[in-house]
Amino acid sequence: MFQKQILIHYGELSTKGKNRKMFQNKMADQIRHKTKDIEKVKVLPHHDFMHVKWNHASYETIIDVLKDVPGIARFEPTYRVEKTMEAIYAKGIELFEAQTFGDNASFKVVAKRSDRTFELDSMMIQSEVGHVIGERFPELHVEMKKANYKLTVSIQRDAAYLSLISVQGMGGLPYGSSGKGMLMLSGGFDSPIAGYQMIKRGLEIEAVHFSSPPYTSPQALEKAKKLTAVLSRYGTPIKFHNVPFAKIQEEIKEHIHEDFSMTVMRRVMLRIMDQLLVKNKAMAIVNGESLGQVASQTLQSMSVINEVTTTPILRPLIAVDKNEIIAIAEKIGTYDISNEPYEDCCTVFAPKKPKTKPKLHTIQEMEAALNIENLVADAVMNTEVMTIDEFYLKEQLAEFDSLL
Amino acid sequence: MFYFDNSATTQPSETVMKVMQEVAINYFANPSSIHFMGEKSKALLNSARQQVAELLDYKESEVYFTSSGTEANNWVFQAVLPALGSLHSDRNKVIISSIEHPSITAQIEMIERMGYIVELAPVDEDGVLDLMALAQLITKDVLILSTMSVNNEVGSIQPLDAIAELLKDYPQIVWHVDGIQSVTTQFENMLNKRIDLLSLSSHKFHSVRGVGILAKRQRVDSEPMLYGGGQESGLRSSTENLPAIVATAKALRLSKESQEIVKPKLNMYREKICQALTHQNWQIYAEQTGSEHIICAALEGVPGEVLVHALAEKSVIVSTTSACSSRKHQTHHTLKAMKIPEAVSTSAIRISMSHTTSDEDITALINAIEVVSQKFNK
Repeated sequence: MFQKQILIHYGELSTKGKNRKMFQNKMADQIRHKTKDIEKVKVLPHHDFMHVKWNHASYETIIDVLKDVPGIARFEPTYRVEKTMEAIYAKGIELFEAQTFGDNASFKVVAKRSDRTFELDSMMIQSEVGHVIGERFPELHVEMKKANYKLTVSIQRDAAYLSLISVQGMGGLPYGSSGKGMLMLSGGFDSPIAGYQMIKRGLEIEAVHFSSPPYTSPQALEKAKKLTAVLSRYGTPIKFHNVPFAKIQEEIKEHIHEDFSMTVMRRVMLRIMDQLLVKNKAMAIVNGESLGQVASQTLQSMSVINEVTTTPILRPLIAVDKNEIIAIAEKIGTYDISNEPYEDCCTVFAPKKPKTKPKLHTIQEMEAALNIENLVADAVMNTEVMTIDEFYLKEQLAEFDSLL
Repeated sequence: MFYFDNSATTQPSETVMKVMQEVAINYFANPSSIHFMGEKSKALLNSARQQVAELLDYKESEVYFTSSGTEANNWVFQAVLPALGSLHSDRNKVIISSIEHPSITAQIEMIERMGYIVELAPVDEDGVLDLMALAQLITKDVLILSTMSVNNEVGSIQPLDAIAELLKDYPQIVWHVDGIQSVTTQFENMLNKRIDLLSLSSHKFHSVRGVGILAKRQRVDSEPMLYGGGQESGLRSSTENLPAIVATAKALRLSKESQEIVKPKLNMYREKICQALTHQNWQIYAEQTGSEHIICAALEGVPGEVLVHALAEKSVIVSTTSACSSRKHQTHHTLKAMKIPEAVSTSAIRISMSHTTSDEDITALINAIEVVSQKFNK
């Protein structure tokens, strides 16, 4: 028998018909995965809700985990007590004591009795418990329709279960329930947020980073890895693909006029993405493009760049302003990492005035000077893969622990 | 040897020295270098800074490393004061408590040459700031108020919470606290949120010499203390003394974590020592208001130096009131501010302890006090 439990309410998942079971299982799997180092937690998916049960860890520990699980609309910590009115009163008072009431706060008690042998019926439990709470907290008044606090008392066969507060979840869909995509992850502010938005929408993510050593620094690569670690908190450990891109940059610099180099570079990146997608059985490319933000993100640029692929390119930030992106970055903890001063593209290759309205046929003619097929195949073949989990950041600092 | 001069300097702990050596050998790269070895050093430096910030309840960006406590104290008037002065030309006053360490008081002349008026805040006969008098001095003309947390000569604990209260209506006054003697047992006292600037010194808490800390709230402007390569956010250039900084961050953590054990232990020792001194007709200063680890006492008629040497013959190491002025035969600055007649104050010595002080040390000290006192009491 478990001593502690939380009741989870699904978000949109409730409307998913036949796929519901798969969705529930994805969420249950993720919760099991994220709690496996805490203790053995029992996850029980039901039709309309899910139970998480455990014995030892604090409620706060489990709440912190559930807050970052996509697909949860809200959840209620539920407290198990002995099936006597005294125990129910005591727990009810304890739960209210932990709250700070606003002015004119109201409450109600809702009781359910599935154990018919219990001495009082639901109505009587409601009125008795309501009376005790009302006496103890004179600043609260009873309100049936729109109470600020709803104390739920459920009498079951083994025990009584009480819950008072409801915690807002992350919303969205369970991780991986929408399939898998590959995220083009630079070290900037936008791409990790694009990844976060898609994770929230149920997409499993693999991260792809293009690095050009020695033109780009090891710190820039590290930055992308750290961002991946932050994202993995909202999903499961993420596969990180490091694509060696220096050779391609050099070739582009040598053969393509500087004004068009950015467009060609982005087209080569998409070609590489397409091959990585096939290799890793993913179905979409995700990037952090926001309409009009830079030269590569005008409609004309996007249409010329996009021309090399028919794969869906998901751009969750296309209509999101920079300040909104920054706000999310601060909230999820990518801001400070993205803010580190290491660039993932070198000034050696950055064109002074890239075309904002490139012409497709001009670009295609220029690309003829490159052996694109070979360059892409080489890059894909030499791509290094590693798996990064949310503990990656701590591991980086752990080596200093003994010193400090 | 029975060492009772911990307010002058403490013995670097073995753990801390090991860390120092490890860092010196394994993280020798310059934190400003962009290669990965430099990056590692920089990451370690930032981790140390982060740790110090957490221990003192400041932000990481508010902690600056200097070469000594003296430098941190100099920073206040050499770099912060000019920055404040140019921002607020309508204010021209500086208040300094009358019992500050020479690293503050020796700057007074310079501050006056800069065109500021310096006022000294008096203390009572226990070496505690006279709050009524201080309240009179605090006006809208004041740029900086500089006080201590624990006095270095007599150990008097300063009422920082009450001072914060006095400053409530003067948010524009920058308040500096010299916390250098506060780490051993009075860590909490220097954590008042109203404090704007806090100085610490590594070798007073079992780290090596060579590191000072200035914690400076973001809202307080400062000119650079040292010009050069732009280290310490451009305010204090010099290649960082990483081994000593990391060692200091560790020592500070160990000191804070052991407060709960060290405080009662030293308090008990202090009571025992005071009892022995009183029994032998010594005059004890700041007996009730002193920090657990410092005792200042005088045996009238015997010069302090003579008492120091006589105790040393019994292998007990104490000092005249402060190490910095011990060799200069200066009058005792704090005792003078406490209005102790010079005839008595020249007979004062300082006994200072730390967590390394043991029962054995105390027994030796008390025996020596008895023997030496009886010799001179004849």
